[in-house]
Amino acid sequence: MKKLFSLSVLLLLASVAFSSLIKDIVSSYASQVIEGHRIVVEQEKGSTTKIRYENILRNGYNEIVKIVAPQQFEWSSIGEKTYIVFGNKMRLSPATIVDAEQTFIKDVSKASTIVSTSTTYYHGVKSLKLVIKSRNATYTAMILEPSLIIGYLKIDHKKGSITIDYDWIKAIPLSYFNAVIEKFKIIKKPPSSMEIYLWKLVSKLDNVSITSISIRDISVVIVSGKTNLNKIIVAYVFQSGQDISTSDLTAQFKSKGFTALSIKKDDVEMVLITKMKLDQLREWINEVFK
Amino acid sequence: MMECEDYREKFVHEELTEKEQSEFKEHLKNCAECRAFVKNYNQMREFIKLRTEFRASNILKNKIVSRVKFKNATKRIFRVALPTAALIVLGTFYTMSSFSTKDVMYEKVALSGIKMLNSNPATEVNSQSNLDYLVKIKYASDQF
Repeated sequence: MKKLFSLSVLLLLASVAFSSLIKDIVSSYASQVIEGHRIVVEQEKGSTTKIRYENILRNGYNEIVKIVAPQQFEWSSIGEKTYIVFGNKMRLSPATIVDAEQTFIKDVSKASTIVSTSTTYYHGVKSLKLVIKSRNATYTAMILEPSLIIGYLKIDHKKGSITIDYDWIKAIPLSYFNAVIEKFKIIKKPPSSMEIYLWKLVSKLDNVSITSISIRDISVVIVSGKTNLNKIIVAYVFQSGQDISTSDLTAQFKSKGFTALSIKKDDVEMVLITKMKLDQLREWINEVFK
Repeated sequence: MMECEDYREKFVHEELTEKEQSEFKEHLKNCAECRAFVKNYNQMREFIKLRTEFRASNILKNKIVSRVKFKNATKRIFRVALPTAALIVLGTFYTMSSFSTKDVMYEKVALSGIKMLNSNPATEVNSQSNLDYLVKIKYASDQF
């Protein structure tokens, strides 16, 4: 009985210690100002592996992420809003960009269990190796000591895994971060309906590509990609009011034996073509624009 | 015997008596000037008679009227119909060419999509648009 009591007390103390450790990591994250370079590897079951090289400048949850490879792209998250960086301007993004590292912090701060902790060295720096389980994923993290900066994070989730590996990271003064932010002009104008509907299509297609064509002063954006059923869809998207008829365009595809459907959302016209059956296309459209 | 002037005056006014007429005939045989006068007078009289007494036949009338009508019609063609026709031809050409370029445009636009539909979509960021950041958002965002 005494042994059982002692074990319970130990478990309780361990639990309190773990919970306090998570709290420390979360609160430390919110106050860290860092600059670093990381490699992000996304692996999805049955899909190709995606690798990104990113430069990070972060102040708590506010950050500027510059993807340097494979395709240059810069975005930022400031005040829980996502911006796309164009030169020295930041424009509101039509979609939220998720940084898995921040998802980890938010996820473990809610309901999570520390499976194991151990002390190790990461890139020569004494670190805490934690394995934490939440409802959504299992996290393996290397937390540098004593700064509690995340040096490495692996997320194993239902569909695959994401690995974030900092090859260098350092704490920087807040004034440096603020000076960088002040150089940007933040445009809070909401994204256009064209951007919003294009994003809806892009977000639901794999291996997606966007092409813009312009014929006789008519601008058409063509989005193509694969649906979750591995069927190719091509969508013609253009601003309504242009000298282009959706019925004429639809007729072109129907005459060639393809399934085509035109829809209008606000001031955006779309013609979608596929080899799928019309009912399947309709179903997919409803799913995308619900 | 009368003088040339007297004969000519009476001749013109048809006042010569029978005797005077015979005398004037004899006079004409010897007077070249009076012969020329009589000849000219008769020619002029014939011309005047033609002007005052001529009535065109119906055939000639129709011919003249149709000729006039034809001339007017030709004038109208040159003044109105020809430019109108030219405008119509140009208009038709423009409309037809507009239709045909429109058809070509739709076909061109359609072909780009059909090409994409028949090919395997790229497995990495592959865009040719100033909106390609939408694709980059997708690749930059961690999905799970």
